[in-house]
Amino acid sequence: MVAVPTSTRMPNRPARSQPMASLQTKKAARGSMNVVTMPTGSSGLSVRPSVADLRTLNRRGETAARPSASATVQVLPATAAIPIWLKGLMGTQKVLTPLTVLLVSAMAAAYGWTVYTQQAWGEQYQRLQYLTRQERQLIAADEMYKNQLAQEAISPSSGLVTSTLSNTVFLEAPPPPPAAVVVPSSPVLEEAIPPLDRPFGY
Amino acid sequence: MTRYGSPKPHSVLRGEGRRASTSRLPRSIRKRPSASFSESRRAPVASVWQTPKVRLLMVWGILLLSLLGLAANLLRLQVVLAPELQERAKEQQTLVLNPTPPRRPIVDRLGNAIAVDRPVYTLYAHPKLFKQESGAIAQTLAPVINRPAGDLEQLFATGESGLEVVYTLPEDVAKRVQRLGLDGLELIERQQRLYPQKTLFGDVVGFVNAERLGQAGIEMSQEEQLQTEAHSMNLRRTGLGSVLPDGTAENFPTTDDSYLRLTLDSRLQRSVRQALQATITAHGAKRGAVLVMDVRDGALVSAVTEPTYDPNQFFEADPALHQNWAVSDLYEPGSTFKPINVAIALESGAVQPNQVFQDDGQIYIGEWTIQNSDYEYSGAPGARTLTEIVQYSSNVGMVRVMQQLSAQDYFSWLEKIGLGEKTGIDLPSETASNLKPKEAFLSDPVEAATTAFGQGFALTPVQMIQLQSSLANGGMLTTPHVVDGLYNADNQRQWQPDLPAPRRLFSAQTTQQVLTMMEAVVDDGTGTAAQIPGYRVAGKTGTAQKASEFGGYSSGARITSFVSFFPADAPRYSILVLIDEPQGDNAYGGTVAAPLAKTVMEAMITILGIPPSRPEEVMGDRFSPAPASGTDPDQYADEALESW
Repeated sequence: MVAVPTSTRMPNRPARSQPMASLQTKKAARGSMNVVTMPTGSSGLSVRPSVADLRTLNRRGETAARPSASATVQVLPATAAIPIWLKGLMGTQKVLTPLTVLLVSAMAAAYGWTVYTQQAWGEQYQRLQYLTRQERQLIAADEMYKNQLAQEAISPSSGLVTSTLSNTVFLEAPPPPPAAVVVPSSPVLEEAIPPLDRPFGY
Repeated sequence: MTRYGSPKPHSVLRGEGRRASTSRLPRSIRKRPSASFSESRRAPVASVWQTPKVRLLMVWGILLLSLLGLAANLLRLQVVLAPELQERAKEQQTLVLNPTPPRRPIVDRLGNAIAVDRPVYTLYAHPKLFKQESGAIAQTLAPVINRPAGDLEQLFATGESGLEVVYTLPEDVAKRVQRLGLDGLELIERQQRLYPQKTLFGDVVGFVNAERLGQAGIEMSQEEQLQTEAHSMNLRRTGLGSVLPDGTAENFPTTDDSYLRLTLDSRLQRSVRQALQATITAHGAKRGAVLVMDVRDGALVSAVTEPTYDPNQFFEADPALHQNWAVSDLYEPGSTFKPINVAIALESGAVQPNQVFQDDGQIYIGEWTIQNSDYEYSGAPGARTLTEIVQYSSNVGMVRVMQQLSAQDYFSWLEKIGLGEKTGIDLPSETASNLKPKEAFLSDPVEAATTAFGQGFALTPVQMIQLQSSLANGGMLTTPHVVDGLYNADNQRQWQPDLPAPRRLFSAQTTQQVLTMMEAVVDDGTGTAAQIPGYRVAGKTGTAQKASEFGGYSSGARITSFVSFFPADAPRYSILVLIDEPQGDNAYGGTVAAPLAKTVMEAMITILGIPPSRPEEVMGDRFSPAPASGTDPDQYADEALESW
């Protein structure tokens, strides 16, 4: 009987869980059966036959022209226990793999955020440039228009007259409210109010 | 002897493997090997290479080697070639911007822009970089920049690179050219100074030249406040060309948003300029100037000289106009200087306000004859009070008045009020007034005599209004200035010019006495043309003969002037009007300059909001004097005085 430890299974070979004993029993039912000799490689590692091989045993259980050397089951050498260092490495791998996954995803997120903020900044900067350009153009156009309007107003064809005493209305100031203190507001860029008394109505 | 000749490890291995598997197959299924093959299936393992373990190790070894190779390459790139590669990346990614910093805008008292910067572009073509036919490019470009395509094609044929196509392209046209995306066209940005008000402030604000240095006016004298620092910016670019925020300075891209505010009022400036132009045209004068100053602090509310120029096209104007003649040209003031002399006489104690002097109409001093301007038809008026001397602008009377002071005292007074020095106004090219040297002044009594009626020395219009303002504000000599200060975008003043503190010339009592005399000039003297109903105006006319270049005075050329304080009960503004060489027989201060001063003052009433001194005159029967706690007009005037 050969014990087949699953942990030492070779890659690309299917796991084998059926004990050979049952197989042997089945094969015995079919008649005399050849013993499957497990050829061993030079390093002592067992090389198991594939399932296909076993299924293709003929009725008589004969393998290809190799006379069975013995009818006994060879005991495979037990696979060596996993060395400590390998166990350690595998354990470390188990711990580090999810950590790596976490870190990589975090890094991807951070990178994505960096790219996004830079892009957003870039867009806002373009917008700022556009807005400052608009502001500049508006101020220039506004001032030139004001100047043009004033020039037209002065010209005699406009039908406007300069304000003189004869067409100015003077009104008395109402009595000031008893406890009010008027704080002149700070001048704003476009329309500053000069802080002095002026005839009301204007 | 195998079929394969000399055994190769992998084929032997394959052979082995085949043999190993086929040896267990039933005969019926197994492939029939060739004879030589069947011979070799019993051959022993040819070499150690054929064992699976070794094969495994070999695969592992190859993979490890390639991994090491990769690691070595990585090392090479990251460590060995790192500096060179970083250099190349930097070169590709970084963008060094040296933007021309825009000059700070100049605005007037109300915030109307007088001078602003705007970017314009110069278009260059490099035909060697054209990807299309130059004809096609010319066709595409022509409608955008509004040039004939044939001209452009000709231009492209003249050279390989660096052809200037358009010197000044406005911003929106430049953006359109950029959007065409044609290779071989280059746009270079520069800042252009725009003066939207054109000729309105030309003489005050000046202009900048191609190197963006102020050459005249405020642009020149306030160069330091108008220039902003040029920051060289290192920016990183992404592959698409957009800018990355990494590594930019703390305050990128905030721009400097301060502006220079002037004390001038553009509304008044416009009215004054229009009136001045009309007067000059009416009298055929050579030039004229009107200065309106706030007497409290010396701020000029309006400074108009005619003729003037458009700073947008400064190159087309006569270079002589680039200097503001109100600041840089001297003139002999004539009779407008008399009130100052009276103040000197009163302040020195040599003369009393109600003193009477003998006015003979004509006197002789040494070999010189001095006579009144109206001597021909008025003769000798006889005894005159000080007020009358000022009222009727008597030259002889003034000589008599100033003879009460010693020449020494008189000269030291003239120096004290600042004659011979500059005012310190913040416009460039100011000329200091000239006064005869002390020895010359003291040696000849005619010097004191001519100075008494305002001839024999010269000063600038700005200095004249500075001295006159001292009579209006209670005797303090202020510094005339045009610049209010540097404000930031929140309209907080960040910087203001460092003006010397006002210094006292006369006592308030003296100036009040002189003001009363000057009010008489307008009420009933030579300045009646400046009367304004409802307002009290104090003024003085002046008609000075101009010195001719051949020595002495020219007979025909004169400079007429009028100075006034408005309103006289609590003077806030002083106005100086100068008309240079008006033509005609009746060209005097009272007939040429005084009416213009009246127009200016009327404009000031509505623009600056000056309440009337005698409201009943302007409001007629609508005016009802309120009870004492209400709006008593005198109280109103007092309140106005307090608030001022």
